[in-house]
Amino acid sequence: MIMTWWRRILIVLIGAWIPVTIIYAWWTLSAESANPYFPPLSLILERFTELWFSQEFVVTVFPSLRNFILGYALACLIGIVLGTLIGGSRTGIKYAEPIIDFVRSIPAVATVPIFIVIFGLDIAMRVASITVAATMPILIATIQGVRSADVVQVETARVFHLSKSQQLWRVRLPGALPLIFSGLQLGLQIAFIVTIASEFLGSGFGIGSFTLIATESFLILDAWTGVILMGLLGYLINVVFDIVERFTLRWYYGQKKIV
Amino acid sequence: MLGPVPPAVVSVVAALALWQLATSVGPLANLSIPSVTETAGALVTELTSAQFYIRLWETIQMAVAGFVIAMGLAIPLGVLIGLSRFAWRSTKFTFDFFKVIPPIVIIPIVILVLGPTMQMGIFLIVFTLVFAMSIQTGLGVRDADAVLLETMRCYGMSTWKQIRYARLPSAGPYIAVGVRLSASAALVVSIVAGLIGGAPGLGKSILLSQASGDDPRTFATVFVLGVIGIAVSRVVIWTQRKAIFWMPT
Amino acid sequence: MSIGITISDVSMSFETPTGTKDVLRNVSYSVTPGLFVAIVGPSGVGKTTLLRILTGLTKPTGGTVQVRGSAIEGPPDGLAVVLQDYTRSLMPWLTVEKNISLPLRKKRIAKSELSARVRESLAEVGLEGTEKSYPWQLSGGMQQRVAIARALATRPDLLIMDEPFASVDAQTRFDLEDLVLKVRKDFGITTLMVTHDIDEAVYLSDEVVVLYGKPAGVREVVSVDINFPRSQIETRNDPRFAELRTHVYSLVRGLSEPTEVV
Repeated sequence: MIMTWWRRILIVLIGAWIPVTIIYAWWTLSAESANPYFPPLSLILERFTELWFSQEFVVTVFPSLRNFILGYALACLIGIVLGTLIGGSRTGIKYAEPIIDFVRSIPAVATVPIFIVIFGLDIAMRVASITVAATMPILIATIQGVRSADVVQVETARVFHLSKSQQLWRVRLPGALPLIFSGLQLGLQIAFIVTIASEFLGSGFGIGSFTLIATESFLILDAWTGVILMGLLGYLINVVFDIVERFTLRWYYGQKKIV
Repeated sequence: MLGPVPPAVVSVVAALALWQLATSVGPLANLSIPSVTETAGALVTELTSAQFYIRLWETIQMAVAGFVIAMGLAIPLGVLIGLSRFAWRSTKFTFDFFKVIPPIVIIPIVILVLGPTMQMGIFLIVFTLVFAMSIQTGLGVRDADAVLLETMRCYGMSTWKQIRYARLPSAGPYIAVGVRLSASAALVVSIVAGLIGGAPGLGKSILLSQASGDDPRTFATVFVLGVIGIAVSRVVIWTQRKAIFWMPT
Repeated sequence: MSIGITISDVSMSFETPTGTKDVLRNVSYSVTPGLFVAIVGPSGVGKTTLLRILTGLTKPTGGTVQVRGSAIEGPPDGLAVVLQDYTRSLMPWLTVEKNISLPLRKKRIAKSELSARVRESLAEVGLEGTEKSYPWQLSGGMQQRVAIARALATRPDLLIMDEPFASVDAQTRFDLEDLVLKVRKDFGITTLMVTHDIDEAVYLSDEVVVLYGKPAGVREVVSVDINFPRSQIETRNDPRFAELRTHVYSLVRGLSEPTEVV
């Protein structure tokens, strides 16, 4: 079926009526609200623009984003490198498996108190907890990906005398990419959750901390704007990831579409 | 003579030894990080206290309640949106949006409204599970074999029969995967609700021991959570194998 | 330079839960440089196992495979392969061009030479202008042509093909067979091909090796004395073709004792 432009618009419109209705209902139902927990949406949005389209955004959100990016980048690096090493060795897996299995079974957020004990309340604690939690799914996916390399592809590479490192870089790793990306996505979501959790638990700075303090001080409007901003950030991060993935794995999705 | 030592034992012993060494004589010795022996002591105290089992029970109660409610809402809803193309397209954006929003971000508001209660934890679990599970079920319903459906239509079978014999069976494996992931997630969120939101259960145990500076107990409780996590994933996989033997996991 | 390949007393057995399973026993055969040889036999006889041993990917449990006078310890130099499963042997993340040049990366070939070789190889298999496509954007037959082009681009001395046309439709299969004849005429590379299609074996080969038995050995080497150039219509109507295919067929089905065909 060919997607004409009006068909596309129609699909967008069909997808839009529910969010529009929700926002409209929220707006009208809360307009006269006397319930302190559900202030009028108009006031929330007013406060939202006031807070987040100002210097406050830089002061509050940047530290969170910096920790998030740093922790996630480290997790990607460690997860993929370690995963490739472990996945490439049969004995490596046997020894590493129980440890990996245990660490990944601990809810990511519950590891934060451990890092608070080790590092105190500084940046190292936040970055370390983000890194460790986000590394696990990436590590596991990379191990699986490298291990499940297609036999025919690897043997073809061997017959054509590709060196070990060429086999790794040109055959095994690209073949493992779809799986690695699923690990990267899970890691991304965990990294975001732990970023916020590390601010909820070890108070100090950042958007999570801001929102929690607002809640505790009954600054309800500020709390709502914090929640909305965190939700939007969480959503945007996923959108950006999807775009990167679609681009990097265009061969994979192209192939899947045809088969 | 026993056979060679299994690698799993070797690496676990090595990890524990490294931890012990680092915290007693090694680089971390001067910090107040609990060693293996201290953690083990706290673990024994934990496991022999009635308090621990009450907390564990609270965590499980919250997880099960949230899980059951979420499945009860999401599976019928998923079937419905999977059956109608209009409903699917209408809900797609909204559900996708809420699916990727981490539940942790709404905790501040949820605490405000519901307080640090079990209801708060249950709400959080339902919020976390319901969108992903609805989408998953809907995908399964939509994935029914087109050839099978056309064949049924050719034989003049009613819409209901098409749903009963083609759509629902096709959704089965999707639902099974969703249920498995949801069960583990329910437990995690149940703990997070305690740890961040102060809802009852093991999460709160950690929050309290951390606040009072009882580090060995913090370590011990986190350790227990890891063990419970492994146990739950094993049980869920095992149940699934028994329940739907035709489906490869 | 085409090279020969000598199989001496090759045996292969696998350990299975129910005991040792002998697949090949004392297979001996020598391939003359420049010839096209087809290996046929009943399903499950061990054709592919023998082929894997010849590529050096599997070590035989007995005997040796010799290339250029010494026993091989892995894939020999100058070997190129075309496998049945083109969807898996071509890398889906690389374009046609990059797939073909992948094996050439090691050989320190200048960039201009590299793209010239890619172009030549694609021209040889009739796929000009597909350089920038991904393999999965092409039909099955075209993908197999890419696999052949990749093999040719390495300028091989020895070409091994495992059921190369088993996964394509009948019409494409004839086209690919004729492509293989053209490649043979143009380059004269020593070629070994496993196939389950007896007509195809006779149509393409100088010699047909029939494997038979459990464990399998060489039942007979049938020399195909039909002149080149061959064509789908004339060669397949040749009475000699019918005789040979009937003979090979009855050998494969175990219906006749090996005889010298006069």
